[in-house]
Amino acid sequence: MKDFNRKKLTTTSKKTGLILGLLLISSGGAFAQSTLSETASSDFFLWLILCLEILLISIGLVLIFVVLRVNTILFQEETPEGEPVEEKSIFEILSEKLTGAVPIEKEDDVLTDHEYDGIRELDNNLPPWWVGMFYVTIVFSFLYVGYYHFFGGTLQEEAYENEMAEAKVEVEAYLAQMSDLVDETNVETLTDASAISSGKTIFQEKCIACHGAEGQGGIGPNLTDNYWIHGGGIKDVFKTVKYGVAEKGMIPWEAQLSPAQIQEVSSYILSIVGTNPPNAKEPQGDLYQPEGEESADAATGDTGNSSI
Amino acid sequence: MKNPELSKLDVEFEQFSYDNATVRKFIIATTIFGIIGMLVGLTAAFQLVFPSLNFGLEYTTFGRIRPLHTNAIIFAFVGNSIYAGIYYSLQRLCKTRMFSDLLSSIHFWGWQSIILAAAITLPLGFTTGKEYAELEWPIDIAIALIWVVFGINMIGTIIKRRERHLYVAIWFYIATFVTVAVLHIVNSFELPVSLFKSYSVYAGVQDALVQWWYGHNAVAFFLTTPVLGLMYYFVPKAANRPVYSYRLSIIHFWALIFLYIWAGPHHLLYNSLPDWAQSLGTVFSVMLIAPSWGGMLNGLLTLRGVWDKVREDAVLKFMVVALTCYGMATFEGPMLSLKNFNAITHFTDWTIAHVHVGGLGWNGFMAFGMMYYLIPKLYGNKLFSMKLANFHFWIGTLGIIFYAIPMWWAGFTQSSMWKEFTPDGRLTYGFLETVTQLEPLYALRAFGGVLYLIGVFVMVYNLIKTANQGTFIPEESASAPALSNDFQKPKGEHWHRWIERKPVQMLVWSFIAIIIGTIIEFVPTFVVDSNIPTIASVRPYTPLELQGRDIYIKEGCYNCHSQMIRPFRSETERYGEYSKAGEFVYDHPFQWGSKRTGPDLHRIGGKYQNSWHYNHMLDPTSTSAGSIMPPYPWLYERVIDYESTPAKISAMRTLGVPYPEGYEDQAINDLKLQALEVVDKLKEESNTVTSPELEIVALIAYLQRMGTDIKGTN
Repeated sequence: MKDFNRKKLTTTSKKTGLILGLLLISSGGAFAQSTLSETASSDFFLWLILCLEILLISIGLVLIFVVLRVNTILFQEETPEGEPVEEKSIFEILSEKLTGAVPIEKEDDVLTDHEYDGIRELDNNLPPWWVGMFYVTIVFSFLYVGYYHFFGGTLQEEAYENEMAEAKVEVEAYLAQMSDLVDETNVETLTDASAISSGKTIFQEKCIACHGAEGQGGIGPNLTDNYWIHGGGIKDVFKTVKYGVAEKGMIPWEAQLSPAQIQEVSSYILSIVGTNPPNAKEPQGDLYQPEGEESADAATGDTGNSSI
Repeated sequence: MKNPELSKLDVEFEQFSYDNATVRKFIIATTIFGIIGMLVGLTAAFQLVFPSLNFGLEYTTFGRIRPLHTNAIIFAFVGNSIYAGIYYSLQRLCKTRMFSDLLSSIHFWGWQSIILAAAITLPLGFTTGKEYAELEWPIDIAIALIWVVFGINMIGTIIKRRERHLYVAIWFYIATFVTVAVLHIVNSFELPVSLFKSYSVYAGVQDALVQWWYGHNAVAFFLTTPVLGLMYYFVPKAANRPVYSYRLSIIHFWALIFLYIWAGPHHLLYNSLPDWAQSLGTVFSVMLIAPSWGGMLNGLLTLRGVWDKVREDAVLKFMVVALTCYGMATFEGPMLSLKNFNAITHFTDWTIAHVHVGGLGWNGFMAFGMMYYLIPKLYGNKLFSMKLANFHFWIGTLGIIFYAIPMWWAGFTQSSMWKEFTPDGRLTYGFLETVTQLEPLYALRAFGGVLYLIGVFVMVYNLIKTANQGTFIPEESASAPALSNDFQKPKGEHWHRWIERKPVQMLVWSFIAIIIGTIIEFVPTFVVDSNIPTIASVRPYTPLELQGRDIYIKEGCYNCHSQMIRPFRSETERYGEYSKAGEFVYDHPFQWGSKRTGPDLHRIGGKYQNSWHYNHMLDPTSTSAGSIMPPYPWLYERVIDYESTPAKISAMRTLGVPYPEGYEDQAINDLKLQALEVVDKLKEESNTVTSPELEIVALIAYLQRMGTDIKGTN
C-alpha cells in the first residue's frame, strides 16, 4: 500500500513538473512571437529576449529539480534501515546543491531556539539558485535602465516612428509589384454578376447598419435615389467609401476593405440606384447628372442609367 | 532545545483565554461573501456569452457588476478570510487575547456594513470610476476608520504580548496594516460634489500613476502580504514541521515590501506615462521574482519530509496548490511587465487569466485550507468528511484550469488578431470579429467558474456538518508566563532579532521601506512639467460633456473600453493618433481602462454620426451585428441632472480646471444650448426626434468630444 502511494505521489509530482514545463514553454512561445511583433525594433531586443528565454528555461529546470528533490527525500525516508542506500542520481546531487539545505536527519544543527505557538524555525541556507536569480534580476535591471535611458535604447515614440516607416516600405514594396491596382482615378464600374454579388455581400456586412438593408438610408443617406451628397459617379462613390467623410460620420473603409472590394461594393451601390425600396429616406444632396466620358461609360452599363 | 525563557522554573503562568467568537464570525462572513462575490463574477462571465443576462436592468449590466465582483472578492471574501486568520493566529503567536473585544466587534460589524454599503451603491452606479477603489467618499472614510480600528486592535495585541519576539507572520501583518492605510488614503483623495459623487483630485497621467500604484499594491499588500503571514502560521502548524529557513524569511520579507511598491507603472506600459516611470515599473517587477518565490519556497520546503501527509491532509493539499499558484502568478507577473510581452497581453484576457490564477488559486485555496483547519479546531472535533474535502480540492483545481487556460488562449488569440495586417497594409480583422472569435473561450471560462463554485458549496456543507457535530468553543483557555523586564540579549543572536522585539520600530521601518519608492515615483510626476507636456488646444469639457462623462463613469464603461491608444501601428491604424499625456489634464478621474472587451474609445469623437451612437446605445447589435454590449434604454428615459452642473463646475475649478469665475451661472444655459445642437443634428441626420433633456444626449456629446482636441494640430 505504501509503495503504491509513493508511486502515485511520484507521478503527481512529475505531472506538476510537466505542467510547469509546459507553462514555461508556452510563455516562451509568446516571447518568440513578440520578437516578430510590431514593437521589436532592434537586434538588441532579440538578443535580450533570447537571453531571457534561456533564463526562463533554466528556472523551469530548477523547478523540476525542486520537485524531484521532494521525491528524493520521500524515497530516502521510506528506505528501510539496513537496506543498501540507493546511489545518488545526478538529479539528487544537483538538487542538493541547488537548495543548499541541510539534510532532514541533520536538521537539529540548524534548528533555532525560536518557538511561537509550537512553531519552530530552521535556519537553512538560502537556496543558491534563488540567490543567483535575485542577483541576475538586479543586474538585468541596471542593464535595462542603462540601455534605455543612458545608452540610446529606442523608447516607445521612436519605436513607433520606426515601426510605421518599416511598414510603409513593406507595403509600398508589395503594392509596387501589384499591377492591377484600382484607385479613385482609374476605377470603373463592374457589371458582371459575380462582382455585383460579392459587392452585395460586403454591403450586407458593412453598410446596412447606417444605409439600410436595401440602401434605403437610415443614419446615413438613401443610396437608391439620384441625389448624392458627394457625387454619384463610380469614382465619387469609390472615393467616399475609401476615405470616408469625417464630418458626416461616414467612416473610411480603406483600412478594412481592399481596393478591389471597394470597387465591388461601389459597383453594387450604383446597381441599386432606382430600385425605390420601401421606407426610403428623403433625398439629400444634389441631383447627379452624369457627364463626359466617364458617365458615358457608366451609362453603357446597366447601372444607374435607369433613372436618367 | 527548549525555549530558554520557558525553561526557567520560577516563572509564574498567567491564565487567559483566546477569543474564538470573532474568528468564527469572520469565517462565516468569508463564506457568505465568497459565494456572493463568486456568483456575481459568474453572472458577469456568462454575460459575455449571453449579453441579455442583465435582464434589461441597469443595475445588473456588466459595467456595474464587474466592480461589485472585484470589490466583493477582494475586500469581502479575501478581506474577511484575512481577518479570521489574523485574529486566530495573532492571539496565539502573541500568547494573549485580542487587545479589545469592543474593537474586535466594531471591526467586524464596521467592515460588514462597508460591504453592505458597497453592495448597494455599486449597482446603483455610485462610483468613483477607479478600479478596485470604486466606492464613493463616505464609504472611503468609513474604510479608513475601520482599518484604523483594526490596526489599533492588532498593535494593541502585539504590545501586550507574552512572547518576546515577533514571528514572521506578524511582520507581514504589520506591513499590511501600514501600507494599506497609506495606499487607501492617498488614492482616495477626492473632492465631494454631493453625498455620493466626488472627483479624484488627481487628473490624467497623475491619476493613472496613483491609481495603479494603489491597484498594484492592493494586490501586494491586501492579497499577498497578509496571506503570506497566514501561510507562515498555518502551513507549519498543519504540517507540524519547522519553518524551512529563518534567514529566507528575513530577506524575502524586507525585499518584498521594499520592491513591491515601485512596480505599479507596469500597468501603464506603452501608455502616456513618462518612459522613466514605465522602466521603473518593469525593472522592479523583474526584481520581485526572487522575493516572491522566497515565500513560496519557504512554504513548500517546510513540507520537506511530510509529503505523504499532503496526500491525506485537506489543509496542506489546498495550501500546496495555493503556493504553487502563487509561484506561477508571481513569475508570470514580471513576464507581463516586460515591454514586448506586455505589448501582446495588455488590454486582453491574459490579464484576467493572470489575476484569477492569483485569486482562485492563491487567495481562494489559502482561505479554503485555512477554514478546513480552523472549523474543526473551533468546534473541537474532526472534519466531517475527508472525501468531500478531496472532491472540493479536485473540482476546485479543475475549475482553475478551466478558467485560466481559455483566458490565456483568448488573450493571445485576440492580441494576434488585433495586430494582423494584410500585405497591402490593412488590418485583417475588424474589432468585433476579434470579440466573437472568443465566445467559445468565454463559455469555457464560465464553465470553469461553475466548477470552482460547486467546490465552494461542497466545502460550506462539509464545514456546517463539522460544526454541527462539535461544540463551539468561544473562549479557549490558555496560559503563559508574563514577559519579564530583565531580558538579557543572548550573545551571538541574529542581528534581526532586535527588531522582532520592537513592534513599533517594525512598523516604522516597514513604512520607510514602502514610502521610498512611492516618493521617488510620485514627486517628479507631480512637479516636473516635462513629464506631461502641455497641449494648447486641449480645452476643459463643456457642461453637457461633463455630465455625459459622469454618465460614462456611472455606467462603468471603463470596465470594457479603454481610452488609451498605444503607439503601435495596429492601434493607430485602427483607432487614430496615439494618446498623448497632455490630452488628459482635465480628466478627473482618468478613464484609461485596463481591458478591451470593446474597442478603445479615445478617438471615437467625430468618427460616427450622432445617430449612430443614438441607435447603438439603444441596441448595440443594430449598428454592430454580433456585439456583446448590453442595450442602455434607461438613458433614453432619464433626464440630465441639470441642478448638479454648477457644483460640478465649481469642484472642477477647485481642482485646477480653468473654468472662468462665475461660469456656474451660465453653465446650465450652455448645457441646454449644446443639447439642442445634438438633437438638431440627430434630426437632420436621420429624422430622429428626441428630447434634449435626456441622458443619452449628454453621453453623445461626451463621446463626440473625446479625443478631438488635438485633431488638426498635428
